[in-house]
Amino acid sequence: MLEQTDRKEWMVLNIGPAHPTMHGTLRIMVKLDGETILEALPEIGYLHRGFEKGAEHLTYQQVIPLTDRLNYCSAMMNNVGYCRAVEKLLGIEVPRRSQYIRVIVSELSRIIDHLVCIGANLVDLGALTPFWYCFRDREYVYELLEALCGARLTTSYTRIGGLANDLPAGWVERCRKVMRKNIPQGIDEVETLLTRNRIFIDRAQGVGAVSAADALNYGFTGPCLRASGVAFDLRKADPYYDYDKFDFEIPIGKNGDTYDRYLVRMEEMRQSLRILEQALDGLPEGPVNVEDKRITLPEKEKVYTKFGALVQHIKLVVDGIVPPAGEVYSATEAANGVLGFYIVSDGTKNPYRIKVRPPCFAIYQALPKLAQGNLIPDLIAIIGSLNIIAGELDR
Amino acid sequence: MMKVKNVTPAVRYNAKERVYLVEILKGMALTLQHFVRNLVTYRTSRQTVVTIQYPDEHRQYSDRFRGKHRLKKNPDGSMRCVACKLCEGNCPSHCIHIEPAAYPDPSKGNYPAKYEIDIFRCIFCGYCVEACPKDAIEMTLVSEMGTRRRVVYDRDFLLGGKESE
Amino acid sequence: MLIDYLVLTVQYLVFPLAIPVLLLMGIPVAVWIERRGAAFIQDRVGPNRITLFGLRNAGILQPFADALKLLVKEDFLPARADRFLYYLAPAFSLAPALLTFMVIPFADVLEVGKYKIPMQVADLNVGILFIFAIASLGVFGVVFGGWAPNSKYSLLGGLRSSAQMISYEVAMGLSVIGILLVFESVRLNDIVRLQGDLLFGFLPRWGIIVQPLGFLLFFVAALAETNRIPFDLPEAEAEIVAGYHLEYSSFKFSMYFMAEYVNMLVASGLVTSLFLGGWQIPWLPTATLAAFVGPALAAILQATSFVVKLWFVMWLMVWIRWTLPRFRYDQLMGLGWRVMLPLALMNICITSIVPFILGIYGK
Repeated sequence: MLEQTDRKEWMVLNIGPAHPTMHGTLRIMVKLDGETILEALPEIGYLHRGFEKGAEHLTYQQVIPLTDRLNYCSAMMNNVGYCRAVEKLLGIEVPRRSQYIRVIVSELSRIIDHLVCIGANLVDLGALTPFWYCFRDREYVYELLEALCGARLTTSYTRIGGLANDLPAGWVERCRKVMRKNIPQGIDEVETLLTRNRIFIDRAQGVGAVSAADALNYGFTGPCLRASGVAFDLRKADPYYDYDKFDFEIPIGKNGDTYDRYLVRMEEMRQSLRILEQALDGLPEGPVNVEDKRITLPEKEKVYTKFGALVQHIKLVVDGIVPPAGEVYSATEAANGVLGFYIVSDGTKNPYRIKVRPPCFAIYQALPKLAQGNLIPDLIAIIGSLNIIAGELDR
Repeated sequence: MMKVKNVTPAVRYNAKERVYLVEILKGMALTLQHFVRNLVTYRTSRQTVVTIQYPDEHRQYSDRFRGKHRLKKNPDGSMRCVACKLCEGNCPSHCIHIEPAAYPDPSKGNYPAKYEIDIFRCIFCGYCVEACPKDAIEMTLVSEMGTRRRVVYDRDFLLGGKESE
Repeated sequence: MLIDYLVLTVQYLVFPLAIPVLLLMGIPVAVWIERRGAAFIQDRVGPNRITLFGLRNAGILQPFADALKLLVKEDFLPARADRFLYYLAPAFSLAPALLTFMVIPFADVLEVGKYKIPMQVADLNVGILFIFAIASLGVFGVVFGGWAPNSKYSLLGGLRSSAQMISYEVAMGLSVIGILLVFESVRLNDIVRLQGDLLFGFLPRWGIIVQPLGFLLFFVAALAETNRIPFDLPEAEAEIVAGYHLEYSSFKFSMYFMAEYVNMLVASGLVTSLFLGGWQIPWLPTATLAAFVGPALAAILQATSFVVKLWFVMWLMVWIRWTLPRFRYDQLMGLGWRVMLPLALMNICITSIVPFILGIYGK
C-alpha cells in the first residue's frame, strides 16, 4: 500500500477512475519521484456489474445480451464465445453456414476492437487525427452490424444452436465493399501518419517492453503476447470453425513494447481482412440453426399457424435450453486474447456458475512491473497499448 | 506449420527517418489532402465528410433496427396481445409487467389490462419480439426516446406507436 | 499644427489602443481556423450551429459563444491555494503576449508630406531584443499557474512547461542571430525593408531563402514556446488533465486561452517579419508602390500582405498540430538542448563564414 510516511522526495498521484484517457474506469495510484514512477498500484472493479452472478438466475439464452457488455468494443466475439461454450456443453455443432457467419462477424469485431485500441492509444500520445480516421471506419462496420442484427453495439446476434437470423439480402456485397475499400484505406492513412514517424517511434519503441518469459508467466494472450515474440494464437493452435482452412498469418513482434503491440494490431487487422475475404467467398448455403427441437426456436410463421410449433416455442421460451449436468471450458481468440467461458451446469435451465476468463485481467496484472521506472506519459502510452477494456476486466 | 509474420522492423529508424522531416512532410501531405478535399466537397458529398447533421438529417437504420417498442393491432382495430406473458418471461432484464384480464366475451380470450415496459431497465435486446407467439410486439425504427417525463411505457402509449420517426 | 497633433494622436494614442484590440479580435479568427481546420482534416464538419440573423456563417461565431460560456462560468479559488499568485498568473501570461506584438511592423513607414508615421506601435531601437526579453516574462505566467493552485497535476504541468519554455528560448534566440548577421540590424522594420532586395536579380531576399535552417529552427522553437503540438506536453489532456491551467475556470482560464492564441499570433508575426518578408509585396518595394497608388493605399496593401502571410503561418501551426503526435518530456528537452542548440550554433558559424569566404561583407 502506498503510504506517505516519510515525505522525502516522492509524491503520490492518483490517476483516478475519472480521467480524460479513454480507457474505461481504471484507477492507478503512482508513487512519483519527479516524474519517474517508483511504484504503481492499480485498482479495478469500478465497472463491476455482477455479470457472473446475474447470469445465475437467467436462462442460458437470456445470458447472451449480457455477454455483449463484456468487451463492448467487439461485442459479437463475446456472443460467439459464450454460445460456443454452451454448445460444447450440449454436445452439438452448429451448421456450417452459421460457423462461417460467426467467423465473419468475429473478424469484423476484431477489426473494430483494434481500431478502438489504436485510436485511443494514439489520442493519448497526442496524435488526435488518426483517432477520427479509425472511428470513421468503425462507422462503416457498425452500419454492417446494424443491418445484420439491429443494433450497433449490443448485438446479441448469436443464439445457442446458431444465429438469431440469417444474413439480409445484399449484405455480402456491402461487406465486401467496406472491407476492400474503406478499411484498408483507413489503415493505410494511419500508417502513413504514424508508423515511420520518428516522434511516434521514440514515444513507443522501448516503452513497456515485456519479455516473452514474463508474458507467459503473467498469462498474457492475444496481441500483447504475440508482440513479445510468442507465436500463440488460438485460431491456429486449437482451430475452431474452419479456421484451419483459412490462409492467414500471425503477426509477431520481438520486443513486446508499445510499438510492437501497435504494429501487431495493425497487421492483425490486415490478416483479418484476408480471413474475411476467404470466408465471404466460401460462405456455404444452408440453415443457420441446428435442427434440434430442444434448442432452436421454430420459425415464426409456423408458430403463428401450427399448434405443434407453438407448443415447442412456448416450451423453449419458458423452460429454455436444459443442458446435461456437467462443466465445460471453451475458449475463443477474442480481440484482446483468449476469452474463456467456464460453465457449470446442474441440469436445470439456469447455469449454476459461469466464469469468464477475460484476457484483460491477466494482462493488467503486469502493469505495476511495466510502469516501474517509466515516466507518466509512458504509463499512459502503455495502458493504451495493452487495450484494457474495463467492461471485460471487471465484468 | 504455423505461418508467422514478423512485424518488428530490423532497424529502429533509417537515416531518412532520423531527420524527422521527411515522414512529417508525408503526414502533412496526407492531412492537407483530406483538408482540401473536405473543404471543397463538404456540403455536397457524404463520402468525404461523414458527419450527419442531426437534427436536420437522421441516420438511416435498417429494418432490423431495435428501437422503440410498439404493440400491434389487428386489421379490425383490436390489439393482438393476448397477455400470455411469454415476453415478460423471456426478458433478460425483467422490464415488462403484464396484468391479464379476460374479455367479456369468453370466446375472445385474454388481453392485457396493464402492459408496462420500464424503459430505464430495457436493454433493447429484442427478446420480447422473439418470444411473442402472436406477432403482437415489434421494435420500430424510432430511436429518439429521450425524455424524462415518460419512464414507463404503458399499454396505450405502446399501442399508439409509430413505425418510424 | 493641427496636423502635427493629429499625427501624434494617431501614433501615440490610436495605434496603442487599436493594435491590441485588433490582436484580440484575431483570437476568434484563430480559434475558428483551428476548429474548422481540424474538422476538415479529420473528415468532419466542425462547429456550424451558431447563427446570427439567420445566417450560419460557417461557424465563425462559435468562438464568441465559447467566450460567452467561459465568462458565465463559476469563478472559484481552490482550497489552500496561494491567492495572490493564483490571481496574478493569467495576467502574467497574457500581458507579455500582447506586449511583444507592439514592435512588429505591419507596413512600411508611412510618409505623408513631411510626416513619417511608423506602422507599428513602438519603433524601438532594440527591436528583437525587446521581444525576447518580454517573451521570457511569459514563463512566469506558467510557473505561477502551476504553483499557485496547490494541485499535483498543475504542478507537474507548470514545471514541465516552464522548463520547456526556457530551453526553447535559447534555441529561438540563437536561431535568430543568423538573421541579425545577414540583415545587420536589430530593428524589425529595417529587417523587413531589407528583405525587399533582390538576389540574383529576381529572387526576393526573404529570410527563409537566405536562412532556411534558421527558419526551421525558429519555427520549431516557436511551436515549443507556444506549447503547440508536437510540444504541448504541459497541457496534454490525456496525461495530466490540462496541466497548468487545470485549476482555472471562467475568465482566468480564458485569459490563458487567449494568451496561447496571442502567443501564436505573435510567433507567426515574428516568423513573417523575419523570414517571410513581413509586409513586403514581392518585387514591389514601397517607393514603387507609393508612386503607383499613393502612400495610404500602399500602406494598406502592405498591411494586407502582412496579414495574409501571418495567417498562412498560423495555418501552418494548426496543420502541424493535427498531424503529429507529441514528444515525451525528456525527448523534448533532448531535442531542444542536444539538437537545436548545436544546429543553431552551426547556423551562426556558417552564416558568419560564408560571406567572408565569398567576399561579401558590409552590404
